[in-house]
Parts: sequence; structure tokens; C-alpha cells
Amino acid sequence: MAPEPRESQRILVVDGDVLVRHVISDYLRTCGYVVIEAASTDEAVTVFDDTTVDAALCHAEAPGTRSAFQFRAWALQRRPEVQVILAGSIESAANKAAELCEDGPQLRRPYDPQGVVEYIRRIIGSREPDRLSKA
Amino acid sequence: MDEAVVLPGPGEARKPVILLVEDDVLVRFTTADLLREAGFDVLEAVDSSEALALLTTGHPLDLVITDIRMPGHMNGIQLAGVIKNTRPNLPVALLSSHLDHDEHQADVFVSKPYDPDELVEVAKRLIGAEWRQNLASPNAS
Repeated sequence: MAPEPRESQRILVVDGDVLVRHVISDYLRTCGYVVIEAASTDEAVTVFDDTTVDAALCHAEAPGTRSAFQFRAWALQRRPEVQVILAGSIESAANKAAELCEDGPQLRRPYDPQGVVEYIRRIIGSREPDRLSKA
Repeated sequence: MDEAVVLPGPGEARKPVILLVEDDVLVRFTTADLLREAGFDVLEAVDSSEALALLTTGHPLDLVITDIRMPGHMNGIQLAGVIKNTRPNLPVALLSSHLDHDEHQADVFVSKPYDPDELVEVAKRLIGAEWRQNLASPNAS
């Protein structure tokens, strides 16, 4: 079984649909995570620049200056220790991924909330929080 | 800061719910985190469009806190007007760093940068009033 989240592990949720964003964020909070909500990749960039997160969950079609795939590539350069999990329908996102020679979304959207939590626990459950290494 | 709010609702066991409308992601997160720490549930909206989308879901709401200056087709004062026209018993607090807003339909004006304790006290006071009205008139709001 995946480990429980440590206190104050932070998840950045990036989604332009406020209802979807609220539901998945609320679920993650119920599971013990601190959630930062971003409505676009521009807001996600601001969060990455100014604060710390342990992982990001980003809709593959999130609005913003950068596409979600471009945001993930930028985040990988900026903070390689923080995983950006893309979520979307395979059909809608595969073409964009192919254009950028990137992997497609790791998770499906509409979200399976429990599946999202299990995935997050697997990727950050055994790592020290990112913020410990950043003032 | 005072201890967290634990208010029994009118026949419910939920926490009071605040809709926070703020276009600066870091201010929104910090404010929402502060309010959650104080015991509220918080719905976050980046602009009036998102706020109206959340308002139409039927999700329980006890207070709206909105910034005045926001991108999009409606600022915070206009959003407060819409809310007061459709849900007159739902209290609204305006947040702004500009103090020249005499004409608005909000219940409270809070200047930015706000004092965290003051914001929590304002929220408690407004939510208390809203819940008392609900107790007096269950179908209100």
C-alpha cells in the first residue's frame, strides 16, 4: 500500500475548469495534502517561482501562455525533483504530446480521485519534501 | 489568532463555507490557507466567471470574499452587486488596496494588505450573521 502523505506535503493543481479543480483539490485536502490551486499554466509558473511544491497535477489542456506540455518541460528544467503529472483524455492530448516528442498524460481526466491519490503517493511518498531543500 | 471556528450550522454538521475570489494565485493561496487554518471551508475562484460558476452549483455558501480589481468582465464591486441581487442574505466582503470605493453593495470593506486576524474576525462576524438569518428563515439565501 502507498504511504500516507507526510504533514504539509504540497500539491499544485492546475486546471482551468473551476469545478473540476475544486473537486480534485478538495479530495486531495481530505487526504491530508496542502493544495495550491492554479487556474492556468501562467499561475502555475508563478507558484513554481515563488513557493515550493512536492508535485503538480496539471490538466493536459490547461489554459495559459504555455501549454501543459511546455509547462512540464519548463518545470523539469527549473525543478527536476518535482514531478508534473499530466492528466487528460488520451484522444485530446496525444497529438500535442507527439508534437513535442513528450510522453502523453499519465492520468485520465475526468479524474478518478482515489487513483490520483494513489499515483501521487507512489511518486512522492518516499521522497523528502522539496521545500526542505529550498529556503 | 483565535481558535478555529467550529460552528454548528442550522441542522447541519458542516463547517462554514467561504467563496474566495482573488486573481493573484499567491495571495489567493495564502488567504485560503489562513481561512482554512481558522476552521472554514474555502472555495477558490480566480475571477468573477469562476465565482459565478461556483455560485450556481448549489454548493453551500456562507460568505463571499472578493478582491475588487480582477481581470475579466466583472470586477469585485460588480460581482458583489450580482450576488446581492440574487442572494441578498449571502454576505460579501470586498478586499482592495484602494480605499476610494464608497459605492458598493458589500457588507464590509477590508483594505489590503489585510491583517490576518482582522480578516478572520470579519469572516466570523459575517458568517455568524448569515447563519442567524438562516435559523430565522430556513429558506433564505
